[in-house]
Parts: sequence; C-alpha cells; structure tokens
Amino acid sequence: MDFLLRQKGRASMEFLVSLAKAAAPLAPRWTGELAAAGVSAATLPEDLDARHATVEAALAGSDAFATAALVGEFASVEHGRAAAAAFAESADVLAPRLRALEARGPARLEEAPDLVPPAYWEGVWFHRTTGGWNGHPEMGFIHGELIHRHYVARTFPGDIFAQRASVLALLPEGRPVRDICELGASSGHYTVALQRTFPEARITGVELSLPMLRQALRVANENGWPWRLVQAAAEATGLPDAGFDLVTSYILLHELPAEACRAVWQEAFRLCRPGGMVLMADVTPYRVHDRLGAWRADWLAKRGGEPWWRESATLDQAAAAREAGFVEVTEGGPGGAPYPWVTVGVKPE
Amino acid sequence: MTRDSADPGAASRAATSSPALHPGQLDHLGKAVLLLARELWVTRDRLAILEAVLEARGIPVAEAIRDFQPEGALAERLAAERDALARALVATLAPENPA
Repeated sequence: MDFLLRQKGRASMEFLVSLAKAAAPLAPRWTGELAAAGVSAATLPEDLDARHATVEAALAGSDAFATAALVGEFASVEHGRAAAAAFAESADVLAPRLRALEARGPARLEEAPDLVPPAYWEGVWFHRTTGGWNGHPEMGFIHGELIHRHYVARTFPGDIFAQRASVLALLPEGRPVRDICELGASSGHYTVALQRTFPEARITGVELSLPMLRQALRVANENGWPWRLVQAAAEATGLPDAGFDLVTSYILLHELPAEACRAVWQEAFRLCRPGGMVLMADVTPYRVHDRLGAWRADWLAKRGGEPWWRESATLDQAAAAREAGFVEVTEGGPGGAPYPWVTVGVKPE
Repeated sequence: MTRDSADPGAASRAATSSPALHPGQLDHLGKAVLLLARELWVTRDRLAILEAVLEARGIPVAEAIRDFQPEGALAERLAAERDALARALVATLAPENPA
C-alpha cells in the first residue's frame, strides 16, 4: 500500500539506512584483520561456541569489528522504535485508512481469542522488536510495510520481494495448485507472491500474531483477494486433514526450536492432499556454509533477536520432511544460491 | 541460542547484547559524540533562523515542513549529505589509520 511518512519519521528511517550503508565497508576490513591473525574457515574449531571465542579473541582490538557490532546493535533495536515513532507521527492519516481497508473485504480473518501461544514464541522479541510481534497494536503495518519498505528493502541484499516469488520456481511441475495453506503468513508478503504466481488459487494464511494478520487482511482487501486468515500456530492449525495442494512457508522455520520445526512438517503432511506438495523456504543451513560463514550467521542471529536460529539451522529439515512422510524431497536455493534455502516434498498418492 | 538458558528469549528483549566497543575506542566515541553535537547544533540554528525569517514574512511553515516530501534534486542532495554524515560517523569510530 502507498503511504507517505512525515518529516521526522522519514528522516529518521533514512538516517538508519545511511548508517547501515556506511557500516557495510567495515566487514571486508575486519575479515581481512581476521585473516591476518591467521583465523580462517580452515582453522576455526568445529564447536560453534569455541568458534565464537576464537573470532572474538582475534578481533578484540579491531575498531572495524567493534564499530560494525555497535552499528548493528543500534540499528537492530532502533529500527523498530524509529518506525513506531514514524507511525505515531502520521497516525491521524494512516489509522483511518487501515480501519477502512480492514472492513472492505473480500478477505476474512478468524481470530482465536482463547489461543495460548507456544512457549517458544511468547515473550520473545523476535528481531529485537520491542514487545515482539504483538508489541504494538499496529505492528503488522509498522513491521510489514514501514520497516520492510523503508529499511529492510534498502539494506538487505537483493530484491526481498522478488526472492519470495523465486522460490516457487522450485516446485515440481505438473501438479495442481488450487488450494494453498501458508504457515506463518505474518503480514502477507509471501502470500502476495503466492497469489500472483497462482492467481486462481484459494489461499489460507495461518499466523500467531493478530496485529500481523490484520495487515495481511488489509493487503488482501486492497487487492481484492479473498484470503482466509486464521490465527493459530503453524504446528497446530486446527484446519481439516488433506485440504491443500500446497502447504508452504517463507522464513518461518528459523523462528522455531527443532521440535516445533518437526511438528510443523508433520502438520504440513496432515494438511496436504495425497499428491500435494510442501515447500518451506528458510535460512541457509549451517552445514552449507563454511565454518566462518556459519559463525557469522550465528553471530548475527545471537545479536539479532533470533533465539532459535541455531537450532533450526542445524536441524536437517529435509530429514524432518521425510520423517513426516513426504517423498521426493529435494533441497537447495533458487539458481543454486544458498539463500533462501528451499526444502520441497510430495505427499504420496 | 541453545537450551542451556532457562529463558531463551531473554537476549531478544535485552536493552543491549554483549559489549561492542573495546576500551581503546573510548576516544573515538568521544569524538563521534562531539561531531554529532556540532552537526545537531548547526541544524537547530539553521532551522530556528529559517522559521523566524519566514514567519517575519508572514509564511507559516511548521505544517508544510512536516508534510513536505523531498523529490528530485533535493532528495538526491539530502541523501548524499545524509550518507556523508553516516560515513563520517563510522570513519570516526573506526578510523582507517588511527592517530
């Protein structure tokens, strides 16, 4: 949806983008310092915690590494706060538009007022967003629109919206896609890619956070898409057996501990029709990185409000898919890229 | 990150994670703060004078500034100056050739 930010919010978000860009050249500097200290993927220990200790000792006096850490720390906390302040500055204009979009239809939202969120989700401030995904009544707009369009899209490598559509090219050909269930639909970014790729498909989006689902509702209504949006956990959707040709998620699994990931694969299998497909796109498994790359991913996750990233990135998701019952399981990234990492399978006929 | 902690989400709520700067950067940090203070004062001074000049000519500007959307050459100029300020901050904290 199109919207304008007023001066303070606009300038504040723009400054964070400039700061991230200014800090980017620090990475090759500290990487070079690490190499000069004799630390490389080949010399790092296998144990991840020992790897952290080795790198931090080697870079203890590095201005470049410390400044990159400082800017990252500042940005990881402040981008959400700056975006919430930007929303408040323009709320008199934005809030009525949001309410009108919610009421317009044709999408519908099924709230679960008695839902007890899973323990791994409750109390976690994912991405270090103050209060977590339910930390602001308009978090769906603030995170899904304001932060993604004014910060993430300008600082994250590549086209984050095109990436969401690109993973669907990895689906097996020739199978019908009439009914789609998206697990962890959030504010609807991937849901948009699904609907544009399969214009005739009926889409059900499952998500724990009500503020996020409200934003997905607005996105659907603005585009005239009749999405069914259900407030539920991905591993316990409450939806009927075998109702979908495709069960899919984008960047959900790394927000879950290993046993919840396995439960999501099992729920996906239950939801799939015989012959139906599953596709889960997520972060790069640590085994695909070299030891330095895996350390860096783990370092960013530790500082970035991602308490389950390591568990998820070290779980063999393809094996979890097979254990759930899927066959013809494949994994890899679009065009051979390591990100996003896509695991695909088929439910036997 | 692992199940060792009784509250795995605690780090996500923390005001800050493990310290980023090392003690040798304190002087750099002081210089960065002074640089920011100078830039902030220049801007405050200019804004106050700008608003006073315009008000003296009968032009109310507060709402117009709030809602103004920079485009074209102005947007490009602002982006270039903003990027330069951010680079100056980073360069002050992590100088290529520390004095």
